[in-house]
Amino acid sequence: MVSTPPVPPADKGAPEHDPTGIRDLLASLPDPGPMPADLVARINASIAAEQSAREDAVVVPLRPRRWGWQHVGVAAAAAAVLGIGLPALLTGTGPGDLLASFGGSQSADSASGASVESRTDTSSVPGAAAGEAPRTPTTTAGGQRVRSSPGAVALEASGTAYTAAALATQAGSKLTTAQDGAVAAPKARRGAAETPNGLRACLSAIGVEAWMPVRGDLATLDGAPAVIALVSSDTGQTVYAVAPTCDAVHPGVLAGPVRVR
Amino acid sequence: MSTLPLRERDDRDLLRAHVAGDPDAFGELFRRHRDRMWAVALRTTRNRELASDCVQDAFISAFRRAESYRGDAAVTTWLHRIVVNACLDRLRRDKPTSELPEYELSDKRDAEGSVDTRLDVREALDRLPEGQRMALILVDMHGLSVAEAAAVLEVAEGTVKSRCSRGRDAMAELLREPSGQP
Repeated sequence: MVSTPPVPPADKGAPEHDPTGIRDLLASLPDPGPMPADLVARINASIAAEQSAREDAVVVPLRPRRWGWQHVGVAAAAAAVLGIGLPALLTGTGPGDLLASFGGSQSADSASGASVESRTDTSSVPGAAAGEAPRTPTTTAGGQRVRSSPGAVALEASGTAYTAAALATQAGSKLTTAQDGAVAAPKARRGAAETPNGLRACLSAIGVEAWMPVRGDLATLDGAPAVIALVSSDTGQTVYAVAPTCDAVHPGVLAGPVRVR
Repeated sequence: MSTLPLRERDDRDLLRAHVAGDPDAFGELFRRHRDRMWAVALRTTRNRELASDCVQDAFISAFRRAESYRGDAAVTTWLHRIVVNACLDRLRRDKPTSELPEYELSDKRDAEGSVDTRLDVREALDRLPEGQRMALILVDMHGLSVAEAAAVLEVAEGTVKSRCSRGRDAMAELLREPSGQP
């Protein structure tokens, strides 16, 4: 039963003035108790991985590939995937699903489109980096997609000379295709945004949501060093060019966002 | 930089140390505030799995965004804000149409006439508009001051007071027995 504590008339504007008794009722509800031990361990592992990434992040350059007979099979598989992925896109499951159909490190939905699994490289998934199993796909009771994990950040170092004027076209051409071209490692690390975690922090600072998959390219923009980031969302793909030194505190956008058509 | 052991340093000092590169400072902040943030997340979402994800995302976000802490509010207020925002973002994303209009509760009760509308306290709280619900969770359930809740919710203090008052009135109406007696 709701009880009504006596309150002086002068305190009517104060929060403790509550003739309904609801305040006392809410305050009397039991405390949820301490954070569960497994969650404490999970978050501690995430923090440790974040700390580790902050201290020692590296870019793994992609190796050049040569065209061979084995690629004929890959091409055939890609064609088959396109046959499945394109209809999926046309039925409204979003560009992330199409990227997933290329077999890249993007999120991959189930065939029903009702769940999503985030696959990220270990340098951008704190729990995974700490040896924790990736989270399983989850759905709400209504079948809505749940994005509880950060999206993948795949980084390459092509050294491509992008221009601001043609950024969308160039990025659309280069970063929306499967990684199959020869790429070179950067001569030296130039800044925070040249690591998966660093690029994610930079993009977060400029408003890109953490669940969105990102494909980054260490390159140049109008002759200056830049990181080109292709961000996928449910509504399409957007390109940003950021300074290699871009981070959570000093977000440096050189160009974009530009929609990829 | 303070030479005190981590457990003896205040929150602001720990956050400064974290920004400066101390590898253990943020872990101490987590240890210190995790239970309170867990309670906030759980009371906001009422779903343990969702609350777990939200509070994890929030602490990682705080780790990465520590430089953005300006020091004009307590570190706990800043952490509350990050956790609450993480929870509300998730709730809005997962249930974008679940929010009830401000006055739908009483309308529904009137329309149902003698139907027993008595709810338990948590169910009644869940049926409040988001602003009123969060104000009551922070002020009445977590004991935050109006000023602290206003800082967490990024609204004026008067708004928090008004939301608390209206939220309590709405809850009292929801919890009233069919006979009309409280």
